[in-house]
Amino acid sequence: MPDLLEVKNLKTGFHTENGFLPVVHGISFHVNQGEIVGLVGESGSGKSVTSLSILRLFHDTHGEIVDGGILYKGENILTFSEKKMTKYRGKELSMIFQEPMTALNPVLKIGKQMRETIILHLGMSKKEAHQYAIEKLKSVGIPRAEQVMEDYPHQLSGGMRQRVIIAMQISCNPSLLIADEPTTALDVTIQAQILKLMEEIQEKTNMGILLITHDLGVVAEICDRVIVMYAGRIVEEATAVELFENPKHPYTKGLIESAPKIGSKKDRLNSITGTVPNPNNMPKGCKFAPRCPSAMPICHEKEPELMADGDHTMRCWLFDEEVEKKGEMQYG
Amino acid sequence: MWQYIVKRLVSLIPLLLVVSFIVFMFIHIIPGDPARLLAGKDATAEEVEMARASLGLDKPLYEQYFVYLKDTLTGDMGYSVKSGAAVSELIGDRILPTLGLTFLSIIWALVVGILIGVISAVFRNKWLDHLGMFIAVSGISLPNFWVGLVLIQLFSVQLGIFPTGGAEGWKSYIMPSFALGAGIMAMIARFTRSSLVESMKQDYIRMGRAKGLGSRQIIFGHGLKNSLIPVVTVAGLQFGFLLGGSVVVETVFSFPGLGTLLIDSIQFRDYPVVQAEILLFAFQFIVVNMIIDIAYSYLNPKIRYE
Repeated sequence: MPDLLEVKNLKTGFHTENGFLPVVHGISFHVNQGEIVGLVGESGSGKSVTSLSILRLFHDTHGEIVDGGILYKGENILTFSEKKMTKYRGKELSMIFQEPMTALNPVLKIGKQMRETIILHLGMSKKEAHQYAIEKLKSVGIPRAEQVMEDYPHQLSGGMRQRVIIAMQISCNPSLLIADEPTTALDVTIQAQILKLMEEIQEKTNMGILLITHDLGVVAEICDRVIVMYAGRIVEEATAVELFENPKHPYTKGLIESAPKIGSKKDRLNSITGTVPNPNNMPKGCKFAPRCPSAMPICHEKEPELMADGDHTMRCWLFDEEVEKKGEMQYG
Repeated sequence: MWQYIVKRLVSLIPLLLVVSFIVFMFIHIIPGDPARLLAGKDATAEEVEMARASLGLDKPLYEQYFVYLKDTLTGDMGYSVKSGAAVSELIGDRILPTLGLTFLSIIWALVVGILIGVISAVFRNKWLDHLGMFIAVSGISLPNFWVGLVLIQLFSVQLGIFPTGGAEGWKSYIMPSFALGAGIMAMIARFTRSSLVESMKQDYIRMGRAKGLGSRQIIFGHGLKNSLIPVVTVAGLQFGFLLGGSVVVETVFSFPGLGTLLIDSIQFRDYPVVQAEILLFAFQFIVVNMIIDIAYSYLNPKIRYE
């Protein structure tokens, strides 16, 4: 059986005044049915562009997928016509965005926005869709759902709006849900509720979820597997347990160390020095080398390939056998 | 919603009082003595005083104002100096053609303007967009009296399709309303375009696409309603100016409306008529503004609930 989603050598970028600017540099990963995969990285690491690529949402932007394949249940959606793609969006592949405050249309009632998708994909009448939408709102824990259907977005809190969006995006039972920073804009207590809700939905429906976040706490909470991105490349991939117990890439280590821990006695948080390189001005060699505490001469010269250690993969010279030997010769 | 409309209507009362006071003061601001003006150049002092008494100008100012207010409210706006006819009758005869003309103009301007704006926004930077914006720039830059003259030359003199002027039958409304609405249509087209282009960048549009909505649903179901708020503002303001613009266009087409009446009255120093027309224009402007506010509350649910 093929993976639910398989991304192969995806290259996406933006057309700018100075020519084409690649943002995602040939990444490959997969999401299985019933799995929650975390895609982690700082701002500018290309994780949102990756998620937009999967739904091909580059309308009214200068973005373009230039190479690679995105296989959904074995079919390459990059070969789909826009018309066929429209039928898949919201029905097969669905997406939740970061900003619940602006993702709902401010001038339309919640009911209208809920019904729209249901009528479109499930072919229900307006009346049936209305009832169905109320059920869906109740299923994501919205009290007095009948009333909420008549409300406008600004009458709801951020957490409520995110629940509405989740209800909307799972209403047609998609097999894959992409959640782009679904909790970032919310209060901490609400964050936990929303994560729990997503976990429950996943258990109930057995859908695959690709969770995009910069927050390792969120990852630890619900993800089965984690992919770490840096500067448009995958730098490490492992199961969530393995990644937290045995992080390999210095970037991942940095991320874990810079996350606040309860019970830690440190006064100050660690942080990774420097910033993500500008896509216009990428360093030669490993893109993380300028910020890396363990950088070796070769890191500044040549970019490492992904290396596998069982299910754990990483893109770092530290784990290259040849380099290891040479290092031993140098220092040994 | 109804509560909101009633609230707005009540808030009009003080505004109308202020406007009526300014219009009332009009006759006192005119240089010279209106009583002498009415009595004529060769009038004796006695005759002037009689004219003064007949105008009520011998009473204290506040009393004059209340009399004026009472008369206006009961529809008595005095008599034309030129023809001696009741001002209310003069205006009554002219108001329907002018209202018809302005409404026709604003309606075609809205329909065509929004259509061009949407097409231009959707086909941004393609030839359809350039064509739409060319039409818009032409509409803004060509003065309406000139458009009127060209229309008369082409369709009346050369082709004989439409009458050169007057207000008899629907045919005589076509060319004046075209000339009057062209500029507004152009404005509306430009505002619709830029506003829709802006709307299409919003998160909820991307959300709509992620839901699987097609382009038509995205544009008309989600984008356009959000874009109409600035368009309504412009259309409303322009509608106000239409009432002024109609003065020029009505003159070009010898259209028997309020605009030509105003021009005639000003030329003959027919102050009672001028005064009544100014009050009417101000009143129309206020009403239009209120309609815009109500339209806002329809377009933007946040306004409705605050």
